[in-house]
Amino acid sequence: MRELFEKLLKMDRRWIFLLVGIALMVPILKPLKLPGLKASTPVQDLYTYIEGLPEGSKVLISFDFDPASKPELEPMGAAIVRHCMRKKLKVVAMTLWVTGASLAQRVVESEATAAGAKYGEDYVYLGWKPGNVAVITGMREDIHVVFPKDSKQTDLSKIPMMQDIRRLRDFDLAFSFAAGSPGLDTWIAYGADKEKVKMGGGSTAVNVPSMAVFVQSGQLVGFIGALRGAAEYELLMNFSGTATRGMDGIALGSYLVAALIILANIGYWLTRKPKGVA
Amino acid sequence: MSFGDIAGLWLATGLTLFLFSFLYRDNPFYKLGEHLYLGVTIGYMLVKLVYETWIPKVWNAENYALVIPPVIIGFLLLTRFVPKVSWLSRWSFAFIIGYGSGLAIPATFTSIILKQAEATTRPLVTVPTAAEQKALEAAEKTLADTRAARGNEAPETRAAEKAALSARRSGTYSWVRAYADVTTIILFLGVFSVLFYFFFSIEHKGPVRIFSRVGVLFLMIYFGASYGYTVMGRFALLYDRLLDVRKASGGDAWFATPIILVLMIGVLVWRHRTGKASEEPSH
Repeated sequence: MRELFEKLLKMDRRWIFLLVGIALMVPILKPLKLPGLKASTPVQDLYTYIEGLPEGSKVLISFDFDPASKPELEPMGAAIVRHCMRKKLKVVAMTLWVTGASLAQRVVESEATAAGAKYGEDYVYLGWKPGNVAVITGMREDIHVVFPKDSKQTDLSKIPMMQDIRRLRDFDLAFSFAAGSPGLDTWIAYGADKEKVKMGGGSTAVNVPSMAVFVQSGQLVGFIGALRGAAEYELLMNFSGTATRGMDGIALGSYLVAALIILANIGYWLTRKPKGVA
Repeated sequence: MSFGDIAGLWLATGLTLFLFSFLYRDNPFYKLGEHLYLGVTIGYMLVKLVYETWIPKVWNAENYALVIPPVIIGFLLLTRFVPKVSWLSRWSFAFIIGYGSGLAIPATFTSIILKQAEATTRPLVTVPTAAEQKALEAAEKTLADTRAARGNEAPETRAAEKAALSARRSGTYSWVRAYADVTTIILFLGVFSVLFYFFFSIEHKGPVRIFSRVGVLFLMIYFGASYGYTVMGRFALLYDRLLDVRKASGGDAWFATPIILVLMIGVLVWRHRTGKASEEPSH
């Protein structure tokens, strides 16, 4: 047994990469539909809050991520836009990340087209502006000054939906799907808290522990944590999207990592040398 | 699938496989992918900045008098490259740091520190207030009246039951309240024991040591959760790439995955046999 573990502990780590690859590839080839997915409280709270918004409420969605975080944040962004369209809310989308400009546009337009929403009346995509914090503080004063034109180079003053939306406080709910900074905490500190705007959001898995504290303090009405959170939201929305399909692979991969950690610890205890032996 | 889609899939799959090839060892495919990734990102950012900032805000500015000072401040940053006049960049940095601090300190203090402190310092054990008890009595009375008037199955009765249930949760010491209290106590214990772990003004021995060890436990739980989330996040990224690789493996994508994979393996084996691979560091 000891020799076996000694061999395992010295194993080339590329075998582990291969195992992880297989664990994630199996559900892609044959979906397993593993049970156990259930909406967590912060995700449920966000869903309930949007459900409670009256038709025509104004929602700001900031897609603060780049292609490197697309797999985690795009599904939740798509689910929220879909929910807003279903509830006939007015969606204003934008991004603080220059490398996320075209991603955000694609998400909003594909969901809006699927819902039959009309550009300028039901949704608007403002695009990206440099300045991070300055963009948020500027939007507190006048959105039309920060974004004189939308992403299609149309004057904001000529867009019907934007006539009633001039400042950040005009929104009934704001979102940030953030991969880092500027992101959710930036929006909370410089925008939502100052203007008393209700805020919801989502983040990548790495940022979940540092962002979840805003739920407990009541600064967020709800929160979607990583792909798992997005899958929970899809469950509430009653559709199976990328996030739901991805959960099988992530579950298998997580089981594998947990098993390897346990195995490595057993191996460590069995193969460690007694104290005093060099 | 259009020709553009197929070309896109070939590019995405090829670059994915090129970057994954680093798991085997450093090689020219990986280097090509890495350099393209950085080059395209920088190029994209530069174009966006020129077309969405420089041209509309500076070149086509409505009032040049307002634009000139920030442009000068911006250009002064470039003096870092000329040692003799590099001191001029300090003006720019002074402005950036002063402006940034002035904006960040009050916002961070109120929204992050004070709000989080407020959320932590809650009553450890809560009891129903007089108003909550009164609300409970009113909700119970409404429920009884609605039941008598409409019966047990009416929607109004269901709504009254829901309202009464909610009032019972806040108007009595229910399990929901007990759960919230336990959570508050754990939070309080966690925050103070972790803070105590980093408090070095007194020696950590006896009960103090035990309390600071509790802090270590909370830290380990946090790090464990962070690690778990990080692994989950990386799996999500890998899953997305594998989806593209799978999508590109069929006939409708002209078998991009198998063709690229075979070509890559062929070149890597050839390099290995001719000794060219030994010039690169192994994994």
